[in-house]
Formats: sequence, structure tokens, C-alpha cells
Amino acid sequence: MTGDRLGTPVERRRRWLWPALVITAIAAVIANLAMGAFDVGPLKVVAILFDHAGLDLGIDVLPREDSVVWSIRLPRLILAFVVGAVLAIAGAALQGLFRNPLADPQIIGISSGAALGAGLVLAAGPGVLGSFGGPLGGFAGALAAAAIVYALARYEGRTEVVNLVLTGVAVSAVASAAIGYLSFAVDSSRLQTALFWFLGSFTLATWEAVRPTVLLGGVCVVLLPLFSRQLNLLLLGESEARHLGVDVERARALVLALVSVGVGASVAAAGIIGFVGLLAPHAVRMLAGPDHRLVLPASALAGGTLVLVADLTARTLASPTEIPVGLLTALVGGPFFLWLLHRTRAEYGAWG
Amino acid sequence: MKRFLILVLGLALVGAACGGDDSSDTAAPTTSTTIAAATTTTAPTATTTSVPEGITFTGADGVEQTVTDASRIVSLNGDITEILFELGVGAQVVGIDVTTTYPPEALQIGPPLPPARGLLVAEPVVALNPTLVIGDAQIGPPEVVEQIRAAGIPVVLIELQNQLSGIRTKIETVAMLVGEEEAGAALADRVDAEIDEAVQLAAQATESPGVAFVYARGPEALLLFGPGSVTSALIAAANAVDTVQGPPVGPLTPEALAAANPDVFVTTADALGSLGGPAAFAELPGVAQTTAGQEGRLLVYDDALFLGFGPRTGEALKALVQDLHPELSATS
Amino acid sequence: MTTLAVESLGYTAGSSVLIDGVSLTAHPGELLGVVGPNGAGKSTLLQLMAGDRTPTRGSVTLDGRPIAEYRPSELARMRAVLPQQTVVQFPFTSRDIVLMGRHPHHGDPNNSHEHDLGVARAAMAATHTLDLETRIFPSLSGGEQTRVAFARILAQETPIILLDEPTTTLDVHHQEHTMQLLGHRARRGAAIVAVLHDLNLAAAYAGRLVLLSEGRVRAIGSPAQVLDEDVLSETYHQRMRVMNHPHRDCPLVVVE
Repeated sequence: MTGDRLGTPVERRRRWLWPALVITAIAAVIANLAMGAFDVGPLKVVAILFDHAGLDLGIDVLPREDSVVWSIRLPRLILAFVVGAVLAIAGAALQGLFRNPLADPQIIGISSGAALGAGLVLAAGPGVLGSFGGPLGGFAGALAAAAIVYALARYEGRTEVVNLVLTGVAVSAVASAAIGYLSFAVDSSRLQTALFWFLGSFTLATWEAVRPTVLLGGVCVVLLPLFSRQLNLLLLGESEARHLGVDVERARALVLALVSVGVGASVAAAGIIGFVGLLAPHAVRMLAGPDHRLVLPASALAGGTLVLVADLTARTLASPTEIPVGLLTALVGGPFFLWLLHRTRAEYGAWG
Repeated sequence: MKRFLILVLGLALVGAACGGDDSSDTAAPTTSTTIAAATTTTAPTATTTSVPEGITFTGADGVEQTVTDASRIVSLNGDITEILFELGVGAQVVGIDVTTTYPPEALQIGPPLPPARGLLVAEPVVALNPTLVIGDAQIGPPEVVEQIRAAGIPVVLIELQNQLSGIRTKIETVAMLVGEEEAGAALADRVDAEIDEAVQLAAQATESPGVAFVYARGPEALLLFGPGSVTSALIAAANAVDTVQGPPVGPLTPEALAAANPDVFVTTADALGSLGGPAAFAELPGVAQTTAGQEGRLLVYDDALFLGFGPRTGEALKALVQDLHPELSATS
Repeated sequence: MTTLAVESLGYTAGSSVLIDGVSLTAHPGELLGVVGPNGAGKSTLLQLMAGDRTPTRGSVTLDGRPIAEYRPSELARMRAVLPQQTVVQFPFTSRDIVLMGRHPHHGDPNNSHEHDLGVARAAMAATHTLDLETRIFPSLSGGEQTRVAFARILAQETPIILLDEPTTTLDVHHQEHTMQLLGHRARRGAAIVAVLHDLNLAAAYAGRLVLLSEGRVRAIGSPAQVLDEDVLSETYHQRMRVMNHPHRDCPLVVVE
């Protein structure tokens, strides 16, 4: 009843946000499975998926079509979606935590930290950690970077835009230099892979690589929304959140840890893919308002879809060559970031 | 012996069948059935068992592959493409990468596959529907190779060679994979004979000039090839001295050039082109301080001809011998 | 009924003593005004009472128990705090902001979203902000933001309310209205501590006043006791006259 009488444009848009996001995501999934250098029709894609679920649709599928969809495109799709969801929800959570609409895992240096951590593990050899070695190294690196940025960029409970971005730039520079040194110092056949971390790509997606990323990324995406209310209250200010019953230190540590788990795993698997953490949450906020109870899960879905579209473009635009997907997101996200910066000055206070 | 061969053949067939089934629904590598059988027979690094219905081969990455059909081949290396065309199976090549520059008909096959020696992409390779992918040990990353194999396509990575004697191994390996052993032996004999001829010609020379090979991809990427490189082997065979001290591939610095102080510079046409021509080469820091720089002695060769260890290496060596020892051409 | 007590409180930041030996108690049913010149330590005292800062000496207790021993969620159901300014950089509506005041009651089985909404809207009606309900908070004027933030404090429904200069950004009408609302809350049993700049507002509405100077209590008692001409003139370094308010039963302070 109140909804009808008090229906603001944002509240009306909120109603169709989820259906729109879900339909777009499904369309992106089908397009990613059906399109590529190897021609497999959408109908066959559906038949292949049903076949693996144990249902025979009676459509003839060549073994090679099956392997392209099931062994190359599907793991890649899952990886791209999870990475996109993690980066978007991490961006949204960091923006709330830092009370700063420009926070993003890449901009504040967490991604570079993760790349360094994962790189150190790769250089040393994963050992007993196996396929979890890279992701866990990424987690440690991400957490270290997050802690440094957090400690240095904060002043009297708030982080100024300039401080946050500059600290992130410095942390990124140090991490990048360390990775550069690593690739010189370590004679590794994975040297080529180091390039991937800076540009971002899903080319390396195999089922084995997907497993740890889905597991650790899933922890991040599933648990972060539990902090929605706390993040909302933190937007009032740290003291205000504490006055309203939030254990601020605990919430902050847990949110940073969850962000680091997800970003660490994502970067270990796919490298640095920037600006997803800005684009998706801001799009959701513009449509449906700033409430984290909606922004966090909707950003995850929107971010996953966004990266699916980006990866599809990366695969098909210059076929048979691939464009690193991180270059594409930077191409779109960079100008968006500049526009956001401009708005900070033009319209201080009202973030949308 | 005969009974043993039949056993191996039987196991190989089982392995091939299993591999085909597995690859259609999982990402698992080819089955281990044949690995056990094969490794018990011969050396562990390059195990080959030739049978009419299938060939198993353990490549440079240590992964065993079974080749049953060479009717559609993707070559990920220029030397390999050359060998395939020399063996007379050029019509079976359906895909090449950017390192392929010879023979001209190979360039008609289609657009080259993405980046050479490095970041391979799986789907464009699979889209060519090959029955066999051949590359060298530098092809990667391993995850992408794994993806292509998961589509049921054998990917064979053969060892890099940096000695002239290794060319025979390379030719014979490729020939074996495509079932052209006889043609392969003949080709290897021919190449060896050409190399021998050039080496003998060089042996008549009275002087052994000092040589440095310079490679470049633009003025920012200047490299000096040293001992252990392909070019170093060619220089030695041409009765010359590779005066470069350092790694097989190292950065070109004025100090390194001064230390080498060659009588002759050797480079490739593409490298020289990326620098902007002979005049630009002469201006590189350190070049003018060397004997070769002062005397203006610079030899330029075609990239694939000179850098590829393949069917035309005898030809390349002969040209190098004649250019380094002009007195031989005058007398002969 | 909940009592907030401060005993021999001291707070030192670096080498400067901000609060020095302050003792006072906020009783249920009472509006306690904290007055004093700039830099007297009024805001610091309020932050110590809110638990935002940890005292260097002395104690802050809620019903006899040190506030550090309470969990944040327990404290949030017992005391609300209005800061001088609420800065929000995200486009929440005023109603979103006021509903955040209901967070401490989230998870209470007797509570419901409908109840929260009812309480929030009642608080907005009381602060004359119901017409701003769907407006974006950061786009409001300073005074409007203060009133919405005040509604959030009222919606929190706590027995103790601490306010740091709740009237500074308000026009005269809303200053009076806000003080009346606080007086009303106090009469219903709340213990209210408000830092006030305007001595006459303090004189008119506070049951008791504390005059702080250089971190110490200079005077405490009824407005008539505290607002002494000589004490005020000395504390503020400004000659002042205190007379009877012509229309209200309280002192009136004027600058000489």
C-alpha cells in the first residue's frame, strides 16, 4: 500500500530490475556458448547441455561440437561469470566500506596485490596447495594490499577520493614492479602467463582452473550480502554505524577478507580485469538506489553478465585472434571513471 | 620381437579408442594405457611407436599423444610447415601460424592463427577441424594446449633443436607423425648432404672471421644471439667464430658489442627493416666501434631461411659460407 | 529507566588535556544542557559519553556498568547519538535514512517492517520532514538534513539521547520545535544530554545545565544557578548581562 502511494521512480524501477538482469544474463550465457570461431548452433548448445544433464533431446551432435561447448566454452563462461560477479560485488562492498564511490579492486591496488601473491606462488611452485595455490597466494596478496591501502588512505574515519586513488596507484606500482622483477628473476615457462595478469584474459579456462575460482569466488559472492545492512549504516559514517549497533572493526575486517578471497581467486585465474567493480554497482545504483541489500546481489549478477559480454566481444571481434578482455573493460570503464571523477567535483554529495 | 610389436599395436588401438571416447565428455588428457606400454619399450623423452592405424608420441611437454589421422594438419611453426610441404603433404595443411613465411603456397591456406610462440587460443584451432596439431616446445600456455586436446585433437610438441644434427631428428619426427617415413629419410639425407657440402666448402677457407648475429624487433628490442642459439651453430659450421659471449639470446648493449668486436655482422631482413635499414643499423650505439662497423660488413638473410632449422638450412649455410669467405667463390 | 553516569572523567590527546575530572549524571526524565565556549570540550565529552572515545581516566557507566562492556548492538538499543553533521555520499532517500535508525531493533521478534515504517514516519511527522520522505538526502539543505537526522535519532527509540548541537543549522522556528520535542521525550522518561550553543535555548528548555571551560566543569545546576553574570563573563571572555525573560519563566542572557 505504501509502495503505491510513495512510489518514486527508483522504487518503480526496482520492480523490473531483477527480471531484466536475469533475462540479460540468460541471453549472454546462450550467446557465449553459441558464438565463436567454431560454429555450433544455439539448438545444439541446448542439446549438449541437456545431454550432460542426462536428457537426450534427439538432436545429432558431433563429438567435436560437444567438446568445444563443454570443454572450452563452458568452463570459460563459468570463469568469466564468476570473476565478473566477484569484481562487481567486491567493488560495491568496497565503495560502501570506504564511503567512497570511486573504490574498485583495481583502482585501490587490491588486484595488483593479488597478482603479486599469485605470481609468487607460481614462481615458487604451488606445492601441496595444487590448483588452489595461485588463488590462495592471490588472497594473501590482495589482503596485504587492502590492509596497506586501508591503513594509509584513511583519515579520521573517512577516505578522501584523492588519498584513496593515490594510495592505490602507489600500491599498484610497487606490486607491478615486483611482478616485473619476478618475471626477470625467475626463469619460468609461465613467463607468458605474467602478461595475462596485466591484461586480463579467460583463455586459460579449464575445468581444473575453474574449480578453485568458483569455490572461493562463491564464498565471496554468497557471504558479502550478509553485510548489506552494516554497509548501509557505514555510509552514515563510522561513529554513526557504531551508534546504531554495528561492530565496525569486525564488519570491516570481514568484508575486506571476503573481498580479498574473491579478488585473489579471480586475479589468479584471469588476471587484472579493471573497472567492472565500478561499472556494475554504479549502473545498479542509478537504476535502483543505493541500498546494499539490493546493490550487492544485483551488482554480482550485472557484473557477471557484463564480463560475459566483454569476453564474447574479446573472442569474436578480432577472430581468430583474441583481444585481452581487460583491455576492453578498461576501454569502456576508463572514460566512465573520468566521468565519475568529474561528477565528484561538480555535484559533491549526490552520488548516483 | 614380432609378438612384442603385435602387443604394442593392440595396446595402442585400445588407447586410441579410449582417448576418443574420453575426450568427447571430459577434459581428461588421453588415457594412460598406452603410456605404460610405450615407456617400457624405448627412451622416456621421445617415445615413438609406428603402426599403420596409429602413432603414439611423447612430446616435449611430456604428454603422450596418439595420432591416427594426418589428413588435416595445423602447423604452429614455420620450420614444420616447410618440412610438411617438402614431404609432399602440403595439401593436408589446413592452418598455419604467423611464423610460417615459406613456401608461398603455404601462405594461401588462410589467415595465420593467433600469436606465434606464446599465447595460443584454442577455439580458432579447433574450428579448423584438424586431426593433428604440430608445434614446437615453445607453444603454450599449457592450459590452451590442454583445451585443444580436450576436443579430441592430438597436439604434438616437438623438441627445439640448436645443433645442425638436430635437423634430421626434427624432419624424421614430423615425417613419422604424418606417416611419410621414407620421404622423411630422403629429405633428411638431402639436407644433411647439403649441409656437409657447405661445411666442406667452408673447411677450405684459410681464415675464420669473427661474427655476431644481431636480431631486432624495432629499435627498442635489440638482441644479440650467443652460444647455444641456432645462429651460433650456423656460424660455427661456416668456419667462423661466434664472438658473442653471453646467453643464447641476450640484450644488445654497446658493452656487449665492444666485447664481441666482430669482423662481420649478420642479421635478418625483417630485423633490419624494423630498424629502418642499413644506415640505421650503422648508427646503433656501439656498432661504429667494432671492426665490422668500421668496415661496413653486414650480411642480411631472409628470416625463415636463416632462423629456421629446416629443409633450407643447407642453402642458408652455403650462402653464409660464400659471403663470409669470398675467396672461396673466386677460386672455385 | 536508564542512567548514564560520568565519574572523574579525563581525556588527553597528545599533550593537551581535553577533559579534566568531569563527573555528572544524566537522569531519566531530564534534559541536561552542556554549554561552554569554543574548545571547552563539549563535543569531546559527548563522544566519551557515547563510547566513541576511550577515556584516559575515570569511567562512563550505563546503569552502573562501564559502557565498554556493552556490545555495540546492546548500546544501540539504549542510547542514540545525533552528530553535528551527517554526511552521506550515496543517494538514499530521507525515509531510508530514518529507517536506518530502526536497525537496532532488527531481529527483535516483536518488531516488524510495518512497525519500523510506522515509527519512522511518526518520527518524520514529529520533525516536520514527512514531505521530504522520498527526497534524496544529500540533495537536502543543511537544516533539512539535520531534521531528518534528528528523526532518525527519535526513531531509534532509546532511553538515552545524546545530541551535539542539534539546533545550530536550524531556523528559529525549528530550533524551538526541536527543543520542544526533546523536552517532550524527557518528560516521557528519556535521559537527554544536548550540547547547545545558544545559551537562551539552553536556559529555556534544559532542566539542568553544565558549563564547561577548558575541559572542566565550571558550574552545574539549574539554568538560574549556572547562568551567572560574572561566571559567564569570565568563561566566555565577554561581558554579559542576565535578566528575567519577559515571557518565559527562565533567565535571558544578553551581551553587554
